[in-house]
This record gives sequence, C-alpha cells and structure tokens, in this order.
Amino acid sequence: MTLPSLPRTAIAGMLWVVVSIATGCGPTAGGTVTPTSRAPGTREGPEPLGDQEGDSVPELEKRLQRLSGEQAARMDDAMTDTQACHDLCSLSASICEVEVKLCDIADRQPQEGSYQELCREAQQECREAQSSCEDCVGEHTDNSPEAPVTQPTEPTETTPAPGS
Amino acid sequence: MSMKFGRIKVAMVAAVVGLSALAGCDDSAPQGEVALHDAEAAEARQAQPDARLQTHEIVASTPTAAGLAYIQAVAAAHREADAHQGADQGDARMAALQGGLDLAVPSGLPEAEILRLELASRIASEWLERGKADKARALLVPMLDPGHSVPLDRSSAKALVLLGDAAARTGDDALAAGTYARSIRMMSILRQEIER
Repeated sequence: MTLPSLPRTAIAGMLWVVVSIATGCGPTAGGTVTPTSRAPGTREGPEPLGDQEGDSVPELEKRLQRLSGEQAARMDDAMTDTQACHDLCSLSASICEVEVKLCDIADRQPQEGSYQELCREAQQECREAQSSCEDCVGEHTDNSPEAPVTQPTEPTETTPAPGS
Repeated sequence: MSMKFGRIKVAMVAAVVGLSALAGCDDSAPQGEVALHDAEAAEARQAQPDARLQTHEIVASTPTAAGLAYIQAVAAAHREADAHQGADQGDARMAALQGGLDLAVPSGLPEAEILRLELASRIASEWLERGKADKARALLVPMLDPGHSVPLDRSSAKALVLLGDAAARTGDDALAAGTYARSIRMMSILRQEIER
C-alpha cells in the first residue's frame, strides 16, 4: 500500500491527535474529572452505604413515596404511645382524686379499721398509677427529641372524673 | 366507645374485699340532704364499706337493626340534651336524658349497658349540681349494686365516682367509702390493661 505523500509535520500532528484521544490526556479530552481534594464542607468518613437510588424524577418520586410511608408509620407509633400515656395519666389523676375523697372520709372514721384499710389501699393505687404515668412519659421523652404531649399531673380537686 | 355490637364475654374480675356492706344513711350528714329515721341512722353508723367489685368485659357483637335503632335513639337523646343549654333549660335537658334511659333495650346488645350508665351518669351529675344528691343516689344504687357485675369500662368508673359523691353528700360514709374504693379498683384494672 502506498501512503499519500504528506508533509512529515502533518503526519506527526495526526499521530499526536490519535494518541491523545486514545489516552484521554489531550487538552480537549471530555472524560470524568477525578477530584483531587475535597470541596469545603464535605464530610470526611466512610462512603455512603446501600444502593444508589438515582436522582431522576421517577426515582425521586419513588423515594419520596417510600419515605412518606415510613414517616406515617412512625407517626402512628408515636401517636399510639402518646395516647397510651395520656390515658394512663388521666386515670392516674382520677385515681388520686378519688383517693383524696376516700381518705377524707376515712379520717372521719379513725376508729374504723376497714376505712383505714381502704384508704391505705387507695394511696397505694394512687402511687402506682402516678409511677406508671411518669414512666410512660419518661420513656416517651427518652425515645423522642420532642416533648411529650402529656405530662404527669398532680391530683387536684378539679380534675374531671374518669370518662369525661 | 365501640359501636360494634357484640356478645358479652364475662371475664369476671373479682376484687372482693370481704367487708360486709350495707349502705345506710347518717343524719349527721354534712349537708343533710336526706332526712333519715333514727333507726336508719343507727344502721348507717354501724355499716361497713362494701368494696366488692365484679366486672365483665363488653365485647363487640353482631349488628342487628333493633340494636342500631337503639344506639341511634340514645345518641339522639344526648344531642337533644346538649341542645338545651343553660340552667333555665335543665328540666328539658333532664327529660331528654331520662327519655334515653327509659328506652327499651333490645336483646343481644351488651353495649347498651354502657350506654345506660353514660345516660345515668349525666342525669346523676345534673342532680348533684342541683343539690339533689339523694336523687342521684337513688338512680345509681340499683345500677351499681356491689353484688352484681358491672362493665369493665370508664363509664362504670365515672358512675361509681358519682355514686360516691352522692353518698358522701347524703352523709352515708359507708356507701361513699365503699363506692370510691370500687371506682379506684375499676380504674386500676383499666390502667393495667393499658400497660399490657
């Protein structure tokens, strides 16, 4: 085969372009640039775990849907816990309110052992109920950075009766 | 309250305190709302609190047309009572609630027991507010007899507290103490159920 007759400088130029494209080292190469240093504010540490979920609109929509579902489930759990604490603390307040009334009556019957026994039993129930309320609220507070809806309350004369 | 119907599962929770009980009246009542005979007063002084508590659980049941009609009628009675606001409409309010309480209960509707206790509690509250503790007491005593089981529900606990208040206001310390103790036990059972 006969090569066309070209100037030596032209042949050298063509070879340089071919080699440059093949190795990606040419001044106009469009390959991925590997960062050599971290940008300001970039976290140090291990690489992210899990599969790459992608950044396309369908992928983001799918991710949003999944996260919304997870959030709803967690909210349900939190609301159930909060309602349970509310019920416990409401019962605790009512028990202790009635305990005060019962022990007032027992005070009027100091010689009657049966009244004193009922008063002691009521005081014990009141303490247990308050403790379970406080435990529930404390547990809820420990599990959540946000303050619980229900706080333990001291019994008062104006506390509504149970079921109200 | 669940509006499902149901069969009754009688899970007797007997927190029986073996104290003999008899509710009498005491003419040394602080507010003396009930006039008592001397014999009754003497009996009341010797009476001991009766804190027996037997409970049964109300479980949802199969719907029936009669049951649904009853529940709707009770709800209508509450609505009518709510519509009569203010002290000057107390009689109309009471009439509406009493109408609900007088409704015939269809068979196979265990939930009716709770509905009736709620109606009775509203009526008793009205009586207590009017200073008629004796009427509140007369209404609630038969529904909350310590010898019979009561539904394991907050409505029972509320009714027991109201009966205790009525008894205390009529000077019946034995009935008041026993009933308050029963209400506390009821609420403790409910509390323990939540904790499970």
